[in-house]
Amino acid sequence: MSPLLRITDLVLETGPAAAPVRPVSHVGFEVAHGEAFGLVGESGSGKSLTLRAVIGLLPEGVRQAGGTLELERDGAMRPYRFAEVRGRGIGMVFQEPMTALNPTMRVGDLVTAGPRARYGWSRRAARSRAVDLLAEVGMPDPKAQARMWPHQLSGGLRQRVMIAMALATEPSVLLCDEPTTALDVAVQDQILRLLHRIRTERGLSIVFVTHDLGVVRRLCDRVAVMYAGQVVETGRVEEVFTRPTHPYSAGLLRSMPTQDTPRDRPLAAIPGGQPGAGDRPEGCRFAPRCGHALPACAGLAHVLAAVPGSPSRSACIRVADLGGPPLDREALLSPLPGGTA
Amino acid sequence: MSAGTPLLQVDDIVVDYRPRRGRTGGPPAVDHVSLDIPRGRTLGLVGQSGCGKSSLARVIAGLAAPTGGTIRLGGAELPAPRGRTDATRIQMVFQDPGSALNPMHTVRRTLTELLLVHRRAAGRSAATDRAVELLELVGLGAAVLDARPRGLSGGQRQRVGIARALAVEPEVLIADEAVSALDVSVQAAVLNTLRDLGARLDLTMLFISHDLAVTRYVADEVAVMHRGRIVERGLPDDVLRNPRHEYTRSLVAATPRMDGPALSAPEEARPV
Repeated sequence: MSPLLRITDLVLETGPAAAPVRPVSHVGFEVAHGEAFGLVGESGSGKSLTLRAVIGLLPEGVRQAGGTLELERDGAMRPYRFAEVRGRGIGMVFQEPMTALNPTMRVGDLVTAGPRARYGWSRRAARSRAVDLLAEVGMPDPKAQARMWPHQLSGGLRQRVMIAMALATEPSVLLCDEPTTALDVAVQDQILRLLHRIRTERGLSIVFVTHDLGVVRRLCDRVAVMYAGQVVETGRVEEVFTRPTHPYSAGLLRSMPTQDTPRDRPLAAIPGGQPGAGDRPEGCRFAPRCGHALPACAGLAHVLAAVPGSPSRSACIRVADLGGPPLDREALLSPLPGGTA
Repeated sequence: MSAGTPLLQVDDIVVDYRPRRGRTGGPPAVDHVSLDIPRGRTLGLVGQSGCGKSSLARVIAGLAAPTGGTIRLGGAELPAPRGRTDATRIQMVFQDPGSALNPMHTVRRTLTELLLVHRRAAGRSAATDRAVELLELVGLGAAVLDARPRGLSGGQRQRVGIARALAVEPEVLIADEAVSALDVSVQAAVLNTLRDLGARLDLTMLFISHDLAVTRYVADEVAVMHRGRIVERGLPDDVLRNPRHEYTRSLVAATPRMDGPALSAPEEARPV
């Protein structure tokens, strides 16, 4: 599949220019046409900032200090200006359907505010288009619901409205920032099915940010695992989740209780916590928490390298020592004689 | 399950937030719920937001009075509102460790004030010693004594929340979504701590969560709550693998699993 969105060497900074702190450093990934790409990590890993940088909606005080953002147009990858792609090539769905919708606008007006401003649609054309869009996102009674206010809708329906808003300008990429985190599992599943359906029907690409590995597993084709502002592993979802090539991904997978986790043993927690943007260690940032770290890890430059025998790319230099591919989670995490805690 | 009288007996609890006149529409928030937990056991309570599980928790903890029903601890009924001694016997760990701790107070002050007020320590220095013991119990140490919540990570704050609940030596601990705001790797460590404490202190626990897999891991038994009622109760693996109630089945089916089907798998690609 050909690439649609390419992020290269993205660097985000905050704080004084003389001594900046970098919440995101040298992050890159590529999303193909029609692909669902997951950006997964714990809070503070930089995943949401990365997503916001793609569409130029960084919070105040955070600036892009490097990197290129490219979108495919007319068969070629080209750097874009945010004004060109906002509400056109790239749409965005936010986490909180309670706060992200303007409470003073009716649902139908919200959905078509973007295209009305951009394309000068008439009020009447906008109304009928709004009803179509609400129907497309599975609102049970789109005509009546177009006249409602956001507060009259449940969380799941509000999230559908937000998706309809993002679709109104016919984007080719939909950026989703934890759109199901505030929802119940049953509603979450409906929204994931909806996203999957519109992606298939429209040939849309999706970049999906979440901390929930199960959600990535359900929706996404490929995934990048972020830790402390960097991508530590990337690959196809079924590969990364069954044969992780980085001790952090493996640790995350192991620490999550599943329906089959043995109940008579402690969970395999990762010791310590993720370092904040201001106090990240030199070299491999996961090394202080890693059971396999070697002295060399502290001086390591961050490179996402191909892993022999695996389609994934990993930032861990010990991948080859850890038994060689295929790596399984157990092998990756069991202590090695050479490893220091 | 062990025989004998359960330590905690919740009988026919109703919580109704609707005005007394014109109680129309759906059922009350908690609709005649009865449950019991044997001493030293953990009951998991699972349900979606709005099912009434937090309302039930607040009533059991004595933070709110029920519309009807009784709560017995060790065979004796707990009055509502509870007196000073009874108030300490059931303690709660809250969901959001960021807002459940006073942001102005250091960990030292949070714990020692509580210990002194409830006469769990004689004098400041004894209270500080006990505070350190409690912090060590939950996997922290004296190092965090002078930190304020802002200076702690989410996992550390939740551990302080657990230490605070344990400070008054409760017989029952209620954990209401106590790990759901935490990251996966941190959540695992806090779950381990909770389970370890349950075993070491012979604590009786009510573990409330929307997450089936997490609940299965910590609980000896699982009860499923839906629209104010307990619709199913049983051993964790039975409830998850052979759910009998329709609602439990839909909950299990909607939970994303690491080994579950991807939406792009052919049989799953049906319309919403």
